[in-house]
Amino acid sequence: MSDMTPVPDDVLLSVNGLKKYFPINHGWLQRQVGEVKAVDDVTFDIKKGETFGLVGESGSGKSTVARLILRAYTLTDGSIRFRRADDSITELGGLDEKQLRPIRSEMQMIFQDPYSSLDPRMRLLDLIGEPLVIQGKLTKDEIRDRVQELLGLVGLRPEYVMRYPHAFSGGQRQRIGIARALALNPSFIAADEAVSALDVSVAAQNINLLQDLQEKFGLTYMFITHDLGMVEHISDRIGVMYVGRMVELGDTAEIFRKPLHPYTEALLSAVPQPDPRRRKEGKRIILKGEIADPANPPSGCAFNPRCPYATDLCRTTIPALREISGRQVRCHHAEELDLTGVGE
Amino acid sequence: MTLEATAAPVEPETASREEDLYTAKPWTLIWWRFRKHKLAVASLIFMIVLGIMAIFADFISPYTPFSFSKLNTFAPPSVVRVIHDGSLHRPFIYAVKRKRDPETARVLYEEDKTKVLPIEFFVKGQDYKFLGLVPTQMHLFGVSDRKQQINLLGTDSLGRDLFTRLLYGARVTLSAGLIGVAFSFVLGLALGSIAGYYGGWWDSGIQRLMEFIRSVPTIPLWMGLAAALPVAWDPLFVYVLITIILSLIGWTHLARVVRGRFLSLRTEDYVLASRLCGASEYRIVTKHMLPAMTSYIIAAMTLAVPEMILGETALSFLGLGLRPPVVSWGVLLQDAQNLRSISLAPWLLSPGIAVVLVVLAFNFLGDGLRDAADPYGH
Repeated sequence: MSDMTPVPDDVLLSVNGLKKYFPINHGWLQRQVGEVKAVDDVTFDIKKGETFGLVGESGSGKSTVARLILRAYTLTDGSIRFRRADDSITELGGLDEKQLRPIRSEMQMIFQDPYSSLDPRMRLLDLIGEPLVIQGKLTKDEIRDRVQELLGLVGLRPEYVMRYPHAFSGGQRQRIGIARALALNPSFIAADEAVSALDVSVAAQNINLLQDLQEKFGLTYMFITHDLGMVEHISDRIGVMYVGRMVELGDTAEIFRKPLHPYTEALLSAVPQPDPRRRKEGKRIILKGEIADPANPPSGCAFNPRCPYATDLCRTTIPALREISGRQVRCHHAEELDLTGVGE
Repeated sequence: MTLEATAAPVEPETASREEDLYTAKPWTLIWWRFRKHKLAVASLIFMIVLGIMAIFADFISPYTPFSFSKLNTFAPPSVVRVIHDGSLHRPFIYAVKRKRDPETARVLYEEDKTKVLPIEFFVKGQDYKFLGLVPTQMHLFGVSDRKQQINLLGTDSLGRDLFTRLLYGARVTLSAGLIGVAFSFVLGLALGSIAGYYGGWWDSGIQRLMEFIRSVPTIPLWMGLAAALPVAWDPLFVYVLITIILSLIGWTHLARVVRGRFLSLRTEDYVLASRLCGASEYRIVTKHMLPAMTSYIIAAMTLAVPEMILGETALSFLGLGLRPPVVSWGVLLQDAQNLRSISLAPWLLSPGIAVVLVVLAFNFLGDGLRDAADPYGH
């Protein structure tokens, strides 16, 4: 890891060669019989103040990336460098729970399921106040004031502090989760499918709330989602993941205009297009089969069994991540293919 | 976009009843849900009444458990009546006359319909120490006739009042159940949480141990363990040992519940959320995991009590557990072991009915608690 380039000034988070292999244990003695390569050699940077979208099917490893960055898991390999509030760079990879504690206040997560991510046995005061209690810098009254302020920020009444989560709807609960994530003034927030459990209008409200909060506090977001329509709306840049690997990475507009990876093309073709002028006839690509099993990936490019453009080269050799016209793409034939994006 | 435009509309003021629901503590919600389970509530009331009767057994019972009367053996239950000579009367019993069947020489009791013995409350009777402390003669009820007795459940072969002995036996049997559950709670919680929390090797080892214990036939195991207890030991000490023996087998069920809860809670998002805020393991276990488990543990403990009570009863009935002079329901049932006494005095089976009622009550109570344990099920 010594040969890594320094983190550029405008980058908040730099992920390099990130790997997470989960062991598969079996039998009486829990012998390891294999491993799931949930995240395999993922590299990307997130710039200060931007929204980075991470997209891919279920099982592509995008949630695992978020959990690795927030150090809910230990890394198998790789490095995660994070710019602290005092502008120093900290390597998160090898830190233990005690060393992580002060950093945890600077990076937070918003969860997918607003029902299971709030302890039903705690009042909002204790739920939203928990991070403040743990960091232990405020008195009881100050915590109460801060919780009420946070509730106001996310559009809930400050009087709700004595209520329990069961009093709230899914959208409101998600706001409580947002308030909790904001409690310690983090600079980075990972939102793991943060609105996919909500219905469209409520999801839109919460997305707008998140964008307002970003403006107000200069937050940097990583949005994990399979909803490409939403990603186009909110992300500055996106990364596309397939079976633990980053297959394409670049500016949102660029990727939507002209994808370089066949998998991105297939994903984009599935986005419902409300504007009839942007619709293209008969261009919906339906992928064959299921996403590959990360415990037993196909040889060569993991996408080759489903790829309409696959050649023998794709079946034998794993493509490297290459830089093509300011974008990164993991495909042997990126230059030759003329893929279709979403029209202007 | 501005915050004002995008924030969700603030809801109108809600009625105070709804506010009560929204701010209700978890235990309040559990109680509200438990209340709907009528059978469980009835069982809870029954158990509370029985518990109070057992605690104050010496005051409530009209006699003492060891006072025998050789002229009153195998007396049938006294019938409490309210109608005498066709007119309403305060509750009373008729005096009985002891006779012998001229052919079989069997003792018979015949009611003397002229002699009314009204039931009196707070009467002076035999000496005892109230709660083992205050010497007194006051009993809750009785009849004021030196030669007659009120035997609500009849008497045994030595003329001892069965109702009295049943109440005293309840003390021993119920407390044996509760103490046994307390022991198995300690074992089950410790081993169950180690298995569920650490997983891996510990989990496999403890699981195999539980499977082994569950596969051993209980009666021979009890016999073996009970045979190891010397007969000459103090009955009180034997009583404690018996409960420990019962809990050595009974902890597995509780350990399973605890292990299962730990496993499912460990993967809850809110536990991860708490960890991502920098919460210590200690905080996560005490603030998030244990509170989510207590109601389940209480329900499992309630369901484990009947097992203990049945175990004590079975052991004592077989003569392997408690022995006279200790009075427990199992010991009382020993008197009902031969067919002759059952056919002569079927009321000797009443401790068995008491066991059935208590076991049912604990099961209903446990069911109700288990259903109410998670008031947040979506």
